[in-house]
Amino acid sequence: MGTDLLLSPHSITPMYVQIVEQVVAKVMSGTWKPGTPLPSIRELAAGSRVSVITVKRAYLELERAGVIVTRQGKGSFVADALDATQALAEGEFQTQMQGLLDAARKLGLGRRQVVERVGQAFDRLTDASPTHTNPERRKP
Amino acid sequence: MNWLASDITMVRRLIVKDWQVYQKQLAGYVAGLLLALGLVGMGTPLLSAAGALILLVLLIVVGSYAIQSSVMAERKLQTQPFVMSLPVTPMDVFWAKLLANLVIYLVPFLLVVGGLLALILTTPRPDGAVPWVVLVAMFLLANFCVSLCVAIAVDSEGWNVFAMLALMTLVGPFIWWVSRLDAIARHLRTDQIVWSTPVLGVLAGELAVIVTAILAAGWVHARKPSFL
Amino acid sequence: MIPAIALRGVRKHYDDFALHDIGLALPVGQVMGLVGVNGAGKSTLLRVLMGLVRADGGTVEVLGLRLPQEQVAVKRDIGYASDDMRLYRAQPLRWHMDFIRSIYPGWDEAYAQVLLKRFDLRPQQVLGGFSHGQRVKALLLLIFARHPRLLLLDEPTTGLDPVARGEVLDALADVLRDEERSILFSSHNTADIEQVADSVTFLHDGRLLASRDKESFLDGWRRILCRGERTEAVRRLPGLVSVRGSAPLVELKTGAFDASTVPALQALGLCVESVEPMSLEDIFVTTVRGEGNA
Repeated sequence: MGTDLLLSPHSITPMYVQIVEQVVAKVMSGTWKPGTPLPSIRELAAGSRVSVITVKRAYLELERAGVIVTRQGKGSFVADALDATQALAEGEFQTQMQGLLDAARKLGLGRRQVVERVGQAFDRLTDASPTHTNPERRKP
Repeated sequence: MNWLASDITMVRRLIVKDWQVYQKQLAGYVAGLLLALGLVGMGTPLLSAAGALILLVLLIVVGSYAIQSSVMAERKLQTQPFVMSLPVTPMDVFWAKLLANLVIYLVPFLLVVGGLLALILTTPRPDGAVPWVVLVAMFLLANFCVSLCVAIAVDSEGWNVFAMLALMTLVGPFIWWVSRLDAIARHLRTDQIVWSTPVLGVLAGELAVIVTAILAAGWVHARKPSFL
Repeated sequence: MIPAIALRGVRKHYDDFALHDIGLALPVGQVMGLVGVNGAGKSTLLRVLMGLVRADGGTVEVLGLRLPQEQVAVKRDIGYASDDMRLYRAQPLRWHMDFIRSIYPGWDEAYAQVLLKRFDLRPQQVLGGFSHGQRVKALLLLIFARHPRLLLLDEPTTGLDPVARGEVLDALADVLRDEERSILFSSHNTADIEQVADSVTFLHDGRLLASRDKESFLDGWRRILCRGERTEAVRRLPGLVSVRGSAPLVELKTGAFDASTVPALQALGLCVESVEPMSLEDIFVTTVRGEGNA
């Protein structure tokens, strides 16, 4: 298992976020299966030329998101399949929602308008997809 | 204050280091000294005087070269932080510099003085000149020691050069004074080696100067707040 | 756990410069980056830690030992390199390596050979013929190859080309693997510190402006773009280091960013457009320039 991630100090994304994203990518793609041990914090730090504290923070975020679990004295491991995917999807949802609210604010939309628009978008989705049946259709 | 070196091996290593760094240049001077000694031994008054003069000049030059390259250059070429970053105390460096330079100087010095004394004692030349040679030689040695101690203790290049030059200018007057000293002049042309009280007094004075210089320099060096 | 470095109330007075009341601690196994303009006191601080300069007051403890009393024991375990340090010009690199090897039992000849290749240095070449970058690498090689427990490096990557800089960072990263070894280095290349340091210490005018772990330090700094007016109330917000305006936008840089910052700005009538983290370089320049700006 390679301890070197593809990190770039020149990217706008903070380093710990890069680490989180790349570990997530490895887990989602199946490269790192559930139960796989993660490289030790120091090994990853030295191999990727980043500070130990940054790796620690990334691992903390990953654990908080449920992607990895840390066992005292044994290190960190990729979390059980169901938990991981669920946690990742939840994280993705949160990020997208935040993005939506930011964009809405720029547009000057208020709470009611946002909720209305979301409803409309949801309807369009259900209309376009024949496998979903929605007994109640709201008028646009 | 701890006068002694903390680590004799480190002091030895520093001395060896100085010797290795400066040995090539010294070889040239030693060759010159031997040549001058040869001239003195040739016998004719003119060559002897010429030889003696060259000896004097070379001894002084070797001394100042050793001091300059090993002490002053260390500061100028900024190798001092490198030395001070080694596991040594300032006093270790002091003793190493002192001993290294003394050894570097004493080798040609003893060669020359020993050679001169041998020449005087084994040839028809008047043996009464021996005390004269010893007093002048010791003066040169004291001169060197004081220059060296000033260089180690004082960090200013300007003052070091001034001190060296000032001391050099004393050599001429000293030789003139010693040659006229009654206790010396009386026996210069005879074959008797006379160690009279005035002669021993001057000798003691020279030794005292050496010891004082070393102690004073050590004291000043140990008190420095910065060793760059 | 004995810290690698512990300074308390350290003072040093020169004619035209002084270090005031410096207190900091570096836990074992961590990397601390020292940031500051030329003349801020970084080099002086490093020299005090090495015993090259005696502080006028305060306590200096390195690897649990007091300086300057135990400087010999301390120096056995420390590697120090600074820009004003030179090696013997007439001697080859190999002579220096042998000299160091004879003094330090921790000398690792195999690793020294690895570094020679990585740094592309010729051992038989005399130091007088080395370029600036090669000289810096040679100094670092002499230090890295004996695996000291603490590295004190004054501007280790300054003046190096980007490739050489990368090699030095690689060698620094190698040290990270060992949790018993610590590094304190100063650098103008704030990117180095941002990348490799665990904590950041900010020196200015001989005083400690900040000394915190890097992540929380960077977390506290934000560049905020808003729409609105640059009122007096805005300028007086605590933690604001820089306020610039170009209608209709206002740019704020704050060192005290937290959950209450955006609401506070909104309460003052500003409409927050974007909140961005700041690079260490930006923080550094803003702090030095922005004294008294906001």
